[in-house]
Amino acid sequence: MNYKNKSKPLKQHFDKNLDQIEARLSQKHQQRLNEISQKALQLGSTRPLFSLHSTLIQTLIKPLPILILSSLLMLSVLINTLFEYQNIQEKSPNIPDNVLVANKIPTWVKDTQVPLELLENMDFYVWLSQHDHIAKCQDQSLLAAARVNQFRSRQ
Amino acid sequence: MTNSWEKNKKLDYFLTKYRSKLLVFAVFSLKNEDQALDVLQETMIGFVKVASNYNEEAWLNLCYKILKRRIIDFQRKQRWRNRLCAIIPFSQLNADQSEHKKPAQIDETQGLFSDVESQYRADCLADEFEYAFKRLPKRQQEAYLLRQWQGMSTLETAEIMACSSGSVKTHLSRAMQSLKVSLGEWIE
Repeated sequence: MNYKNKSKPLKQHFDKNLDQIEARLSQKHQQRLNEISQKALQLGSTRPLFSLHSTLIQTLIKPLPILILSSLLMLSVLINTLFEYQNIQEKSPNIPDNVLVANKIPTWVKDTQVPLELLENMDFYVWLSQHDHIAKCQDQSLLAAARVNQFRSRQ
Repeated sequence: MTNSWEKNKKLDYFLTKYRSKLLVFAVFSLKNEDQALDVLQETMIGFVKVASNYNEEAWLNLCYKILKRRIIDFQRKQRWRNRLCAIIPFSQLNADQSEHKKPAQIDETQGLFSDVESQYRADCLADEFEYAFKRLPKRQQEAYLLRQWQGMSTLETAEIMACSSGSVKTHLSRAMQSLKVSLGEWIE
């Protein structure tokens, strides 16, 4: 009998071969397959997957990696911030006392347009203490200058 | 109580009927019978746990879906294991079992065959088919096994393979073409 038979469709040949493979495997592993089936039925019937208990565990387990990751991230940010703060403290220059005093001097004193005799006039400071709110406007040099002009015009 | 017993009986019948087909699918995907059996066991346990939530008509589809996912998971683990084995030089786990020997070619010079010879030719064709089928890409194997051998619809096959119906048709057509080329001399 010639096996090369044109009338047999291709699929039939292949299916037959696959069936043979299936039968061979089934026969070879019959005992193991029986054991597997029995074990699956036993385990499956005793522990339902969609019970309340398991879903609760699943919902608790799922956010766990996210929690761990976020806490790690926060910890690293905190450590980084602490190091940065430490570095800033170490790097900050020691400002001499005279420079700090100079920073407290009002801007209008530094202003070269303000005449020297005015700054050396004691009456000016008496007047200034009477108008205390002007001293608070140290950085507003324009306002201070205006006040200076006001004092000069009175004199 | 009766419901549970009936359910178990149905599941037992289903598993007995389809376990060998599932095993074939797993063996072709993993190329290792022991690993395929392990994966099949996990699949069956997973399937039995959820089967009661589905209609009986959907069981086969569900079972193949679970099997497919388990195979993918197993292969991922295997890949990590192989990487570890590559890092550790003295590991004994590097044995490659995926090689297949080409079956012996039979003598074509003979004209008529006796029954014994015919059986021999049929066996050779089976070997040749298995060899050719193992050489197919994985997706083509899956498409062929599900669509042609299991007789599932294109939609069902696409659902299990997690691809479109068009892709299933393409994979199947290519598989058929490759098999025809490989086995043409035997079946034409």
